[in-house]
Amino acid sequence: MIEEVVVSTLILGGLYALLSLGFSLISGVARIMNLAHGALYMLTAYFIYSLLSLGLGTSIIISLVLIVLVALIIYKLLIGPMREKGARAALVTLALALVFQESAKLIWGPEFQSIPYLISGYVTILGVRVVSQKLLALVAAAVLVSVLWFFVTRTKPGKGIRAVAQNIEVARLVGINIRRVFMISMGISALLAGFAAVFFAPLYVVSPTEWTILFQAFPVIVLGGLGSLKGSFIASFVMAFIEKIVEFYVGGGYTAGTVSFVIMAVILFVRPTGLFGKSSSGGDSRL
Amino acid sequence: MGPILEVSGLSKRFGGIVAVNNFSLQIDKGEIIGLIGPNGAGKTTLFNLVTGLIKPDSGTVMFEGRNITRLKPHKIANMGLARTFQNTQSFKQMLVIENVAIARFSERAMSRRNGDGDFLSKPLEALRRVNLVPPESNMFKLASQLSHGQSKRLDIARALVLEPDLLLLDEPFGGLGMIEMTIMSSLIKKLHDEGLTIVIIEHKMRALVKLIKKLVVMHFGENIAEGPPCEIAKNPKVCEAYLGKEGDGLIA
Amino acid sequence: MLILLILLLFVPALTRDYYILSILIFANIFAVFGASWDVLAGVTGIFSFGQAFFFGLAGYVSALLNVKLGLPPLITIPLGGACGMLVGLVFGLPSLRLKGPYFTIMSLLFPTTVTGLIYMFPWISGGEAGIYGLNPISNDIAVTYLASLFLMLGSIFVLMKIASSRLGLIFRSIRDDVDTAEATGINTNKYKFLSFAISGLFAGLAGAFQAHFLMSISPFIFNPVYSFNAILYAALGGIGTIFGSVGGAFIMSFLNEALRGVAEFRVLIYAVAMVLVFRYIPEGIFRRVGKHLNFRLGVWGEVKKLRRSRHGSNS
Repeated sequence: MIEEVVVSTLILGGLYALLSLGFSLISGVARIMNLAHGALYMLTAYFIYSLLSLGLGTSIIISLVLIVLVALIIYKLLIGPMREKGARAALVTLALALVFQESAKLIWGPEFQSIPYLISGYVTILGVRVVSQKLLALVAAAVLVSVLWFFVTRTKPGKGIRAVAQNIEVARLVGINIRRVFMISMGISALLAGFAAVFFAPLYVVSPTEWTILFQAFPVIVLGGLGSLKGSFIASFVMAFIEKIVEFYVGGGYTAGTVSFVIMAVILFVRPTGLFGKSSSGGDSRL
Repeated sequence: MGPILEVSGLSKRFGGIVAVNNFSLQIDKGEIIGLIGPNGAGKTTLFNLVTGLIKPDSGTVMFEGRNITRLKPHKIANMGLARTFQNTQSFKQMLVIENVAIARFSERAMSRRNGDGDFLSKPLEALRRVNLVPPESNMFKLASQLSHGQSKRLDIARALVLEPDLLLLDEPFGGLGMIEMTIMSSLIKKLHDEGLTIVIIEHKMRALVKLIKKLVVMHFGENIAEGPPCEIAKNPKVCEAYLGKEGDGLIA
Repeated sequence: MLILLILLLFVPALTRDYYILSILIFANIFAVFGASWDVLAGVTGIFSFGQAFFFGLAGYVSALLNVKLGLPPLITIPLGGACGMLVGLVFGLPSLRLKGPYFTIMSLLFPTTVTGLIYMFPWISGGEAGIYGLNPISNDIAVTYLASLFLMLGSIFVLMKIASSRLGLIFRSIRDDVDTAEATGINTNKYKFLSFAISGLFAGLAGAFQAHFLMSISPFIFNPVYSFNAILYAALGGIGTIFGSVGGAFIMSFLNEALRGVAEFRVLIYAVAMVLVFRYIPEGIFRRVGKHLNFRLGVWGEVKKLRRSRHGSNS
C-alpha cells in the first residue's frame, strides 16, 4: 500500500510542480496572479488533440510553439499593461480564463476528450505496477524542473529573472532589460504549462473546465509561498503526499481536495507567506 | 514631569540590514528638535517604530509616561502622538475637507467634542491654521489636485485635528520651493509657539536650523550626537557621517 | 433616476408575464449582490473574489431553516441576511492578516472549499443535488417582483446612505491609504470588520431571497463565476458608486435575455465583455458617461450640504 502512495505522490507532485512553478514564476516577476495559467495547460492539450492528424510528435511541437505565442500575446495585451495592478489584473485573467473555457466549449464541444499516451504499457517499480506514461511524466517533470533550476541559477537571463523578482527598480538600474525579462518569464511559464499538458494531460481528461486545475494547485502555491520557486517545488510533493494519504486511507472523491483547501486556509491564517514566500514587510522575494 | 517621549534601546533589523540600532532619545515637552542624518540612516524607520507602524525587535518607547512600544498605530495616535509622512500620503480620491475630517472621527477627537456643533468646524479650523483656506474653493478640491506644498500642509492639518501633544514631521520641506518653504516654516514656528512639541526629520539644514534649538544625528541607525547646531557641526563623528563634504554645510 | 424607479414600481401593472417579471426579479437580486460587493471593494477597498461565499451560505442556511424547520421565507430571509453578516465577520478575520494576493487567493477558494464540504456531508447539505422544495416568496409572481423591488430599493438606499455617511468616509480612507488612516487614529481593523459585516448582510439577504425564488439551491452557487458576476455588475456600473450595481445588473440581465438566441455564445460574449470592461473601463460606465458626476458620487453627505450652502443650489 505504502508504495502505491509513494509512487502516486511523486506523479501528482510532478504535475503540481510544473503548474505551480509556472504560476509562481510569472507572479514573482510581473507581480500579478495569472489566473488563466491553468488555461494555458488546457489549451495545449486541446492543440495537441486537434493536430493529432499530423502525428503525435509534430502536434506536440507545434502546440508548444503555439502556446508560447498565445502566452506572449496575452502578456502584451492584457497582463503587461496591468502589471502591479493586483486585484484588477487578477480579475482580467479570470475573465480571460472564462473566454478560453467558452471558446473551447464551442470549438471542441463540452464533452471530455483525451489525448494519447506517449508510451503505452506498464512497468514494475518497487513491486508496484506503474503505467509507463506516469513514469515518463514523472521523469519529464524532474528533467524540466532541473532544467528550470539550471536556467534560473546559472544562465544570464535566468539571473535577470531573479533580479527582477527581487527588486525591479534596482534591476532596471543595473541595466537589465525588464521588458525582455517579462517576456521570457511568460514564455517559460507557458512552456511549463505546455509540457505539463504534454506529459500529464493524457493521464487526465481534456475538457473546457480543465483550466480550474490551477485552483487545485493553489494550496501548493500557498504552502510554498507566493513567488518562490523553491517553495513551490517542495510544497508540490508535500501536498501531493497529503492528498494521496487522505485518498488512500480516508476515501476518494472530494475529500482529499477539501482537506487541501482546509490546510491552505489554516496556512493563510497562521503563516500566509508559506514556507519561502515574500515576507509581508515587503522584503525581497527569493525566487 | 518626565519627558514627553522616551526612546530606549530601540532596535530593528530587516533581514540582514540593521535599520535602527540601540537608539535612545529623550524629548521634553515643548521642545522642537531636528532629526538629521545621511540617507538611509534610519530616521523614517524610527518614526515608524515610534508610531507603531512597525514593531521593534527590542527596546521601548514611552510616551507621556506610558509604554507604547507594541501598540497599534491608531491607539498611539489617539494618545496624542501624530505624524506626517515623507510622501504626502493623503487620501487621494477624497476631497481636501474630507481628508481632514477623517481625523475628527478618531477616538481622541470624538472624546474632546467641546460642543462644536457639527463635525466640520474643527477640520475647517485646521485648514485655516495651515492657510489652505481661504480660498474656500480649496476645501472642495480633490486631495490629488493640491500642489506639493499644499499637500504637505494638508497632512499637518489632519494631524492638528487630533490635537496632538507631540507632532512628528517627516521632511516637511521636501520638494518645496522658496515661497512654500517660508509658509511651512512660519507654520511650524507658530505651532511650536502654541505649545506643540515637534520633532522634524529634514535634510534642508538652513530651513531646519532656523526652527530648532537641538539636533539629533542618526547614522546607521544609531544616535551619534545630540546638541545645539553649532556643536553638532563641529562634531567629528557627524562630519564623518556626512563624508566630510556636507559637514561644512551643517552650519547655516 | 427617480422616474426610472417609479416606472419600475408600475411594471406589474403593465405585464403579468412570468418570463419578463422573473428577469427583473433576478436583476434586482443581482443588483443587491453587486452592491454588497461594491461596499466592500469600491468603498472600503477590499477586493474579494468570493462574494458568493456569503450569498451561497446564506442561501443554504435559509433553505435548511425553511425545509428542515418549516420557517417561512419572511423569517428565513432576514435570518439568511444575519447569517451572511456573521459569515462576513468570519471572512474578515483572516483578511486582516493577509496582504493583497494572499487575500485574493483566500477569497477565491473559500467558496470552493465550502463546495467540497458540502459534498462531504450530503446528509446535511443535500450534496450535489442541493436542497429543493423551498417555499416560494409568493405564489403570485407580481408579488414576488414587488418584494424583490422592495429588497433592491431598500438595500441600495441603505447602502448609499452608509456610503455617504461618516462611516463611508472612514471606509474610503481605508481604501485610499490604510496606514494614514491608522496614523490618524482610526481603528482600521474595526471598520474593516464592519464593512465585511455589512457586505455579508446584504449578500446574504440577496442569496436567501434567490433561494426562495428558485425554491432550490445547489452547490453551483459557490462557483467562482458566481462571485465574479457580482464584480461584473458593480464594475460595469462603476466601482464605488453602489447604485452602479443596479445599472450593471439590469444591463447584464437584459443582455442575457437578448442573447438567448445565441445561447452557446452567451457566456463567451459575457466573458469577452468582462475582459474588455476590466481592462479598458475599470472605472465603470456611469463614471465614464458622467465625468462631472464624480464629485457627487461617493462624497460625504456633510460636505455636500456645506457645498450647497456656499454655492447655492448647484454643485
